[in-house]
Amino acid sequence: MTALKKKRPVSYHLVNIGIGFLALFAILPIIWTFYTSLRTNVDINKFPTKFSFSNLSFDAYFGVWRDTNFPMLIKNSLIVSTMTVIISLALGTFAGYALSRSKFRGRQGVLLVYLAIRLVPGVLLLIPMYLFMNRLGLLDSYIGLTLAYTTFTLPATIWLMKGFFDSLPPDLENAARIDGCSRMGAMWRISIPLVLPGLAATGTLTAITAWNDVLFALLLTSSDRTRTWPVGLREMIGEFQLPWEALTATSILSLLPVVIGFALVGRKMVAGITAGSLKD
Amino acid sequence: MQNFIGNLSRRTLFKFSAVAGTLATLGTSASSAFAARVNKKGTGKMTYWNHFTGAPERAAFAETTEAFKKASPAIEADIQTVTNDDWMAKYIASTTAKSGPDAVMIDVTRFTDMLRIGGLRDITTYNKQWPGAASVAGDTPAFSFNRKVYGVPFFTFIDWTYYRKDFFEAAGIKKEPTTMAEFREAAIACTNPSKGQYGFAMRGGSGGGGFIVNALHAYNGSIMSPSFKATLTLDAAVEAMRFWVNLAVKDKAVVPTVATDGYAQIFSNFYQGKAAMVMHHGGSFIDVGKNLKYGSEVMTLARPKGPKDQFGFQAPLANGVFQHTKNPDAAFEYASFLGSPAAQTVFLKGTGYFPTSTAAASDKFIADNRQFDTAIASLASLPKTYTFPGLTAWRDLTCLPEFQKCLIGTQTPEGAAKIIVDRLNVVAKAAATANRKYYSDNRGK
Amino acid sequence: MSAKTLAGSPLRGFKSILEGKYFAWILLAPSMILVVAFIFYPLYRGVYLSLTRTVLLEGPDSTFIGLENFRQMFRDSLFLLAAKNTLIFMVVGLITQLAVGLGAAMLLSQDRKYIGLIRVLVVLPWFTPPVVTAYMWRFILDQNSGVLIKMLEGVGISFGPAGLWSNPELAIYAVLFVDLWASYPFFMLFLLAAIQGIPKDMRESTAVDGANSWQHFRYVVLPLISPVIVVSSILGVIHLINSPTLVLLMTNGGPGDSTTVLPLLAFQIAFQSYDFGYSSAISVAVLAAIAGFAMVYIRFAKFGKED
Repeated sequence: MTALKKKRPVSYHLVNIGIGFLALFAILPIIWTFYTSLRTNVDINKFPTKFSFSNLSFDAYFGVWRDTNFPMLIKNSLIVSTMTVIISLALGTFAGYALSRSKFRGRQGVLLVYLAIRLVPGVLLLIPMYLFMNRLGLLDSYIGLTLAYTTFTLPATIWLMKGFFDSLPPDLENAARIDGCSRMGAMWRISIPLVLPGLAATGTLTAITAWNDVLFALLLTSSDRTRTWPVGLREMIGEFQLPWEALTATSILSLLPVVIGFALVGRKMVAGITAGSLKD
Repeated sequence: MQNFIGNLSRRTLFKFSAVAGTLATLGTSASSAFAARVNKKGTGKMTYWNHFTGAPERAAFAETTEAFKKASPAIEADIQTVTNDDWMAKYIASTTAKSGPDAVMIDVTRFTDMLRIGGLRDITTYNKQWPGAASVAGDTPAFSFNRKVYGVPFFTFIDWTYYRKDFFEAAGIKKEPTTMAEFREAAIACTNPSKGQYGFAMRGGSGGGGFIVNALHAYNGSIMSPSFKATLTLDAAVEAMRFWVNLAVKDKAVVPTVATDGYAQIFSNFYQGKAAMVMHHGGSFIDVGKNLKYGSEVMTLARPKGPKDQFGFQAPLANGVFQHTKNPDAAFEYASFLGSPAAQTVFLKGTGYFPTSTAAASDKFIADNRQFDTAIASLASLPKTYTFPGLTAWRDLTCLPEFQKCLIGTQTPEGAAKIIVDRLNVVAKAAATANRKYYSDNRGK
Repeated sequence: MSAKTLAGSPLRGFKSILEGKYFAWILLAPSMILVVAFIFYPLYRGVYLSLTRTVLLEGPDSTFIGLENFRQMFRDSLFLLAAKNTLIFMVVGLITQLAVGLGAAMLLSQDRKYIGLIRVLVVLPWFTPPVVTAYMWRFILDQNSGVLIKMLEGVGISFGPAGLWSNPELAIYAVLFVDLWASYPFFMLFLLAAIQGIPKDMRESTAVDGANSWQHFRYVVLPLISPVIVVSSILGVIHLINSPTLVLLMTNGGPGDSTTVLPLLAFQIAFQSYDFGYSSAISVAVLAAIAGFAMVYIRFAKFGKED
């Protein structure tokens, strides 16, 4: 026992070092990008390369905000992400509930069909998706992009929501049903309030997926009225110019909503995703 | 004839073009008296796709859009940007869906691809009835096929070289290099690896394929006949590949990261003083001026001459009308507006892009700027760029990777040349077959 | 409206549908319709195209040619190289991400101050937009001005004057390193949850039995979390193969063909060579390969669910 006690501080500190290393590995690149965005282009392009600065400022951020249509692109991204969350959560909650509560034949098959969505390579989807959206008249519109994203986020939403419903004790609903509640009523009044934290976690995950996509945003939107920020970032790289500070500033700006979302529900989400994903 | 024009002084050339411009204007104002000979005025919404992403380009578009609003108040123009990398994907999608923009930008190297895929509208009749056509007529053939016109020229990218005047002086180079041999010597003379300085910022990464086509043309002369017969010989291809590869591999006169250097990297190297020369076209003129001082630090220089032809192209850019537009009148009105001297002058001043309109080319901005002498001289001597179906795929998916393999030592210039020639033959054969089919499909239409 | 009013109303028939065996299907219907419309039509069209010659430069028509496109793959050295690269990408990517993910999960399962906050920090890269990840790391690993490259040079690790990205052997591993940064937290999340699901007193009891930490991990922890390892591995493989965003943005297949992977090749063949038949065939082949993995996944998932 004494030997174990002596050994413990060493491993304890090793673990601490490991944890510290993981945290640094995750955030140092982001911090470096942030630092770069505060430096001037002259400093960044100096040769031989220096990592020091002569002046730090938020000029690049003001520049991006003022001279590009980035604010509008961010707004579009926010709208599309929000709409995706709403539709995806609505459909995903119903489907997840059904898959959790009803043990019907083919249930496993349905779950796999949703998973199959993730298997189809994007190249195969691009042109048909465009044709389809065109036929529906949804090209270059918020709703078109939202529907596309909903399709891709649904599998995760359904699987996670199923996990959350699975983890609820079934007795609660049974009691409500004995009291005369319909199945819909039981779901609406008993189960959903209980999975609200899970709903928040899944919603954040969905929002981030929609926020980060570039491929379908490129294809399905073309005007500044509807296109999202990753497309704008791709454009900003520009063909004949080299705006490192603007590029890094934009990167940080686009990361901001993700970080804020994380700060708000990050812990719940991390806990939620792990809890939800394991119970299947 | 080429030499004759090349020797003409700038001023004389302008006198000529001014006269030509005036005559053209006279001619058109006379013809516009006949109402039937003028295009119907467009109305309603008009969407235009371009692949310009730079801030100066966007600013120039904003300015021309304002002017267009005044000139054609009945049309509501929506200017949309699609990046070059994603251009064909979106173009193919819209062509397949028969729904897309109304007017499109046409990069000349992609012109035949775009035509074959089927999204470009024949604007011959429109062009005939457009009073301004004469003043930009010089470049229209580049956007014509089978005697049908598909694009209104907008401006021309004229390939040239930038060099660091201070570096040349330090290396004791007195005479600007005019041949490829002299270019190589200058690059070697400016190279000093211990100081991290190299003669040339070569583009071997993204976008580097164009330089391979330059080299092949300079050593071979024309590599493709108008009837789509490949005329590139293996010997010439080997020579071309050897020259370009050895500049990096044997002479070590280029910045060593060449295999991954795209536009951003070569110019970053040039601005940082890691390279004495960089090759590009007029499109970077304004940006270079922001980073280095013209006259004392940086100069423009015509592309060197190879054994058969000059190393470089002039590549016009045009605007056309999308095949499936519901509003061709407005689309042509916009495309032709961008072809007008006024719009071209705006772009010239904002971006340095060389106008196709003779009237715009005689603007003071060019006349008073010594750096543009290079462009004017090149205008007469530089070969026109290629456009044949499959060109871009051959350039970007065969020439460039094979060149990169030479740089990283997994391929020899000879081996690369063989693959490049073989592949070009395949492309040519496919283009010729498709051409016959195209003719038979379009007969009587 | 409450369920009670429903019960006595003429809507009884509707209600009985909701209550009956179709209840699940009704809830599933909207999402099923969406999925079928947006995924199965493209899939059907892709499979059809893969059996045709469809080269847009020859015209918009498709000619049925059976399995010729699939035969062509085995003659196409670029396809074979891309297949090899894809395999490397998948195997190395999976092993590194799983290993680091598992190690991180073990570390982060310990009780420490602020551990919740650190868990969130560590997961952040997974949610960083791929576009940002790609540009950020290209900058950090840039031969001229990359801070990490200069730091490595400082400790004697140099990639030569041509740099990391010009090295045909290393470029793919550079992308894999960046993918490791971005994707291992996904494995960490799953495995952390699994580890936390193991009752704490188990360690104490094995310690009493005289097992050391490694033995405890090997004989107690690993068997318990292996179903989760299998599940997350399959999902990880799907991600590694189907999301070539990082390769596309960081190397675009270069230098030479050294980092060309199958989805990237399919993209180039479709949108640069305009050969939609061959491109679709490659995609279908990739799809079939991943579906094979998915089958394994089902097997293992069932195997692990015998509780």
